[in-house]
Amino acid sequence: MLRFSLQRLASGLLTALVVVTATFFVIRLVPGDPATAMAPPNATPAQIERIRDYLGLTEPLVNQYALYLQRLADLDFGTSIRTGQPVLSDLLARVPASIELAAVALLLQVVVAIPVGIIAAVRRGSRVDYLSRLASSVIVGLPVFWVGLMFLWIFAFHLQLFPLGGRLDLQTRLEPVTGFYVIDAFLRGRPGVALEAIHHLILPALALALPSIAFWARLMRGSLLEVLGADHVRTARAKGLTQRQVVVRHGVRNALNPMVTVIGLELVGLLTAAILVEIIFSWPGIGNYIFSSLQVRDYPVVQGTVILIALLYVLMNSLVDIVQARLDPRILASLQRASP
Amino acid sequence: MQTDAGSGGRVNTNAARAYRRKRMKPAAVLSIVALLLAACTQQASPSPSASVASEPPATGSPASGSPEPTTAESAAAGEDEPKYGGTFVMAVGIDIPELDPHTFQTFANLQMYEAFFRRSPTEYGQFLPAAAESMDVSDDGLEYTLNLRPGMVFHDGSPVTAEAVVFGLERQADPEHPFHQGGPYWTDWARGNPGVVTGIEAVDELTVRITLSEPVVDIEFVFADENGMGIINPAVIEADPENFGQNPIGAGSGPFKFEERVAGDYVSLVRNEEYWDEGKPYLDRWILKTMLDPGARLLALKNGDIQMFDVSGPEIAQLENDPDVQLVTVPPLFGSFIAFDHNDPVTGDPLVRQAINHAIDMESIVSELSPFATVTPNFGLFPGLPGHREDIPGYAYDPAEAEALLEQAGYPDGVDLTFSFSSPPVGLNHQILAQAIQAQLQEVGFRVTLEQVDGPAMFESGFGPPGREDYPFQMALNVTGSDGNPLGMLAGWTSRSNYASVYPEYLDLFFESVVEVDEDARLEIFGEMQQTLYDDVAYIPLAHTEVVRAVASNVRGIETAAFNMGEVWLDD
Repeated sequence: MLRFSLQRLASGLLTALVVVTATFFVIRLVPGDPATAMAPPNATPAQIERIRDYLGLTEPLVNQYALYLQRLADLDFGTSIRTGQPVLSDLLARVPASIELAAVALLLQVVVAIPVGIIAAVRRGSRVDYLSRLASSVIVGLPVFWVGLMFLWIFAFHLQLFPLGGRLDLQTRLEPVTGFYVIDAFLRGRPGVALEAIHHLILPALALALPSIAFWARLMRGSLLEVLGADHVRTARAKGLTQRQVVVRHGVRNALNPMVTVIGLELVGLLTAAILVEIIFSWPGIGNYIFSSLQVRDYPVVQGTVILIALLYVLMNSLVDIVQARLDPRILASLQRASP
Repeated sequence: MQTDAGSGGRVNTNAARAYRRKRMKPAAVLSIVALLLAACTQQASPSPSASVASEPPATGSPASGSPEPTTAESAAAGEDEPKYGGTFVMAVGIDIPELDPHTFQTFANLQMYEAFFRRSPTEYGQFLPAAAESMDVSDDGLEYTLNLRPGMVFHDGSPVTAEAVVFGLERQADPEHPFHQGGPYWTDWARGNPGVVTGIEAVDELTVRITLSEPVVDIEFVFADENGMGIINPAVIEADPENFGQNPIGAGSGPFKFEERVAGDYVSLVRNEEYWDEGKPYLDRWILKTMLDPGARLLALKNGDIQMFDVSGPEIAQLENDPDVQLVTVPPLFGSFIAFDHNDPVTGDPLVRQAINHAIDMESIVSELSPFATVTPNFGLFPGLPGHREDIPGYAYDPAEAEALLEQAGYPDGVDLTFSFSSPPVGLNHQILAQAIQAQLQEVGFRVTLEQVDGPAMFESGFGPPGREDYPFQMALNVTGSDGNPLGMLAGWTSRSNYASVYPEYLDLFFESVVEVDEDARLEIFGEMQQTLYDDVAYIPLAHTEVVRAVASNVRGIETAAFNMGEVWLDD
């Protein structure tokens, strides 16, 4: 198992190298001078010169590449043209807001989608099944920005049930510790502020989670139905186990297997999907940041964010493989057979 | 106080021209670039000056082209006694990365950092005294003496001195300065004119003298630019040179003090009790909040969560009759125009350009663009700008004349044109405008293909060195801005297409004007430049608008403040 895990991580690292190499060459394939291409439209000659220096453009390509890898290894993602700050520190200041939102959205997905999927599968053909399938077909097709705007319009503006965006009320001051406001509020001994933070989280998290909830419920239903039709489930029934025992012990556990892949990748996917939700709900995360940077063509920020998200994908992919192998010994066995 | 005192006399224009050609970066050009960029990021824009403070206005009348605020009039605060207290939230569509006025422009900087002068919110090219009570200019235009206001203090209680001012000016201008961080304004202006600034000195506690080797006639623009020229407390920079812009406690001397900044979320400022303008500001707290989605901003304004944001295009129509909202117009001006490739066989022919001009009926289109848009009557300078020639009529709508000219140009059966446009983030809706113009041109025999290009490409096509020889489009719809500096606007026409390389007399006039220290003589050259633009049909002016701002109905003082939130108060 350890060997397998190390293998997975090593191949993940190789994928990461391919990603960062591709990023390196893309900007150099653009016709003309990469420094000019990377500079914002209003860049002064001095700024372009600084970018040129930074990229080592007077050096041979091999040296430029080495310099680039060296910087990445040092976690140097470059300096934002717009803010003059290191991209990494800018991103890190905004990442907690995005992760908090994505985590709550993920939680909502798990809590809602899996039970709905199970019920729909167990009561296949029932009214619940029919309704959940209908609802999910409709919801899956809804674009997230539209859902966000409608939520804002209906629940925040008209019904006044939720705030119109932001992480806290503007007059609330919270000294951050971790950057996750719900946790920070508890750490500071202010449960009222934690509730306020949760109140602000619900609407954007729901908007973010909704399309995936529908998708997951269908996935869970399909997966469970497949498992429930399998031989080992028939055997389990033959043994005289109750329906609940069959479904929970033999059905759900195996049906969750494909879900693990989805959940792992979804966490990263949510961070990118959150860009639109963050814009609509004035959520100060990386989505807001990258959108503002794109408007002024702040290339180091865009490149830094692309690399960061790609690396997160690769990491999650490797972790998913490892967790899956742990959950389902057949996967490990088949992989070990394939690569002795 | 005086700016262009004395006759000054004409400088050797040939030498000046050669010199200017070499450096190619007059402050005026930079000013417009900066203006457009600032506006593109939906920020407050810096402002140039034609004249300062109590000096008699040049031709400074309010921009006659800009329409009156609609509901703002009913909210005119004249009779009411201002009320103290309350929180005012302005929403902007951009993440605020930092608050160092030397390197990044934001509306919050205007409230935190006092500059020498504040721009007039109602009259283009006029300025009000702020940190400097007055400015004296030597007869030769080479020496500027700024007299600072006595008794002013920074937000940490330390006095605002000439030494602190010099520190800031040098920090920007000198790349070798230990605390230099870059920055597009004073720095680039000074470096784009190598050696032109020969001295920055503190004469005494409250007097700063700046010496130039050559006159720069719109230098007041640089001094009065509140964004780039906000005075910073040197002690605060020295304490944390790298990150002071992230957390500038005690750094400014403006009406509001820095309280807190949450990255990507908001900047919060509180009332400065020690502000020099006694009794102001009225608000307890002023917040600049990042809200990227226009729809969300609109809901938040109607909900009372925010009090103000800048609106554009379709939102204006939505808000026009909303009782909860007042629409107020503020500088700068943004105008749409058509630029041509003057080397193109078709658009290089002045007869064709004139035919195009006669074929366009802006009066019939303008109301569809925005209720605040006005037809730009003629060439070169927006109405209301110092030196604007009211007597140049522009080419009137006359389709018969257009057809005749087209025939005269050798195209009796019409001719093909490619008309490029983009969707600029400021000004008027170019999609509507381009389609309307296409339809009108077809009427007289032009066969027009519309080509939508991306925003940055169109934006960049409008900036080149003065007298550039290339232009990427046959015919393009672009936008220009003006905050009141006539030289800035006229400079733009040397580089917004390849016009000035084909018609070098315009370039010659321009180089003459930038060193003409006598204001009357300079205004005369401005007049000649406008005549030249008209005669050559250099560009086609279409329509212009000021920035439109949606403000909550209980906000008072906004129409006379515009940029200085120290004047603003909240009614019950």
